[in-house]
Amino acid sequence: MKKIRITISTIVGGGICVAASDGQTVHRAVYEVISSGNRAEISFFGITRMTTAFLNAAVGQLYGEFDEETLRKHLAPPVDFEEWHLRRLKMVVDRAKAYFSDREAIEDIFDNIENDSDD
Amino acid sequence: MSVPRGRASLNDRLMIDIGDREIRADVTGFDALAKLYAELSKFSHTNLGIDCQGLGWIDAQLGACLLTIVNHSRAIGNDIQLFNIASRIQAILQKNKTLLGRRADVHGTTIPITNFNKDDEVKFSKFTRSRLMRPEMPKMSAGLKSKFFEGIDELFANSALWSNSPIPVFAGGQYFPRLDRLTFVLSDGGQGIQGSLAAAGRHFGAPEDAIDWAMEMNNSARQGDIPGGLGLGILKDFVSMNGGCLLVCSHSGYWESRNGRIIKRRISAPYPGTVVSLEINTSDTKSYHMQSSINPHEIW
Repeated sequence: MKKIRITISTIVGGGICVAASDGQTVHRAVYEVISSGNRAEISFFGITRMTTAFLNAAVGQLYGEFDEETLRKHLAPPVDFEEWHLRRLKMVVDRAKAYFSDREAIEDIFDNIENDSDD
Repeated sequence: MSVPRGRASLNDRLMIDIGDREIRADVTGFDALAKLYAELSKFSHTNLGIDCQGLGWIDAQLGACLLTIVNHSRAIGNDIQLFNIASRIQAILQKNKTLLGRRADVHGTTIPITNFNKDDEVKFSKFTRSRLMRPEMPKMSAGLKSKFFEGIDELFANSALWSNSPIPVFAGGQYFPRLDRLTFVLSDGGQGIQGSLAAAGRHFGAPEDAIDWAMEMNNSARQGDIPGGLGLGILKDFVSMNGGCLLVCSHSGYWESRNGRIIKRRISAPYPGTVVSLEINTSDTKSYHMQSSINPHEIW
């Protein structure tokens, strides 16, 4: 298994990572590395702005495509990060895990809340 | 939007009275804006005039909302001009580019009302950075600025994804140095939060309840393979800590958090889309730090 570095700012063409469409481009690169059996090392070098919309597209949706064990195996710890990059990434990953691991239960809870509010 | 020079001829125009003496970023102000839109919506392919005779004040940043309303009306073929506008109101709305006409912003307190297409995320991000990262905000800590921009970026991303608007997003603001206040408004002219949630299969009986739901940190209209966004929740938490105000008017629903107190109201007519208005307390000296460091080995 090779470790392949994915530098987000190189793919996006700058440090402003705010568009979900740019996140999709990053996602394709990460997806390709994982699918080919290698390990992706995501670099946050040079990123000055980054939205959760971008991160949802780039990495959040991976949790709907691979199980957590596979992702832990094929995603190396991120590099070249600042604390706020990591904080935002962690928020998106935690939400994605919750959403994709128990989507049905979450939707049931939501339906119950809606029904309660109709009473 | 234009104001006719000299004496305007009203003969060929249907005149609509703006009604209120003051339009501020509050529930009464948005009620007035929504009523104006309701009046304009009665006509198509018509020459209309908005009579501002009684108007003594409008918060400058609400120029973004005026442009949303006017552009919706223009989209159905109306031609619109303002009449009898007080000179100082005309001046500030020219300074911030709501109205046509060159007027220098000598004190640099306006954030010009600017239009953005839904795929203009990067342009919007650069706009907010260049316009809001200003020396007049020395009391804003680095943490506060970071939190602010984080929320603003998310806000635009959500507008672009949700609103399905036929007209551009308008954004701009006003800085009040003596009040230690910075205001920023984003108006999307789209289907509204209740409409976005309905399109995503989430139905609410009242538009203000739909806003209230969207204000929670983990709630969003986004669905499918990409988990939802966090913009409104981040902003709500931020203004609550900062001592500012966040308000959202979306169609007939109005939601406001001011000094930590939340109110929900129904306004008398639908606003054409969703407007989010932020009022930031720039005298805030608190620093916003992370609660704990995150281990990069425990991310995935």
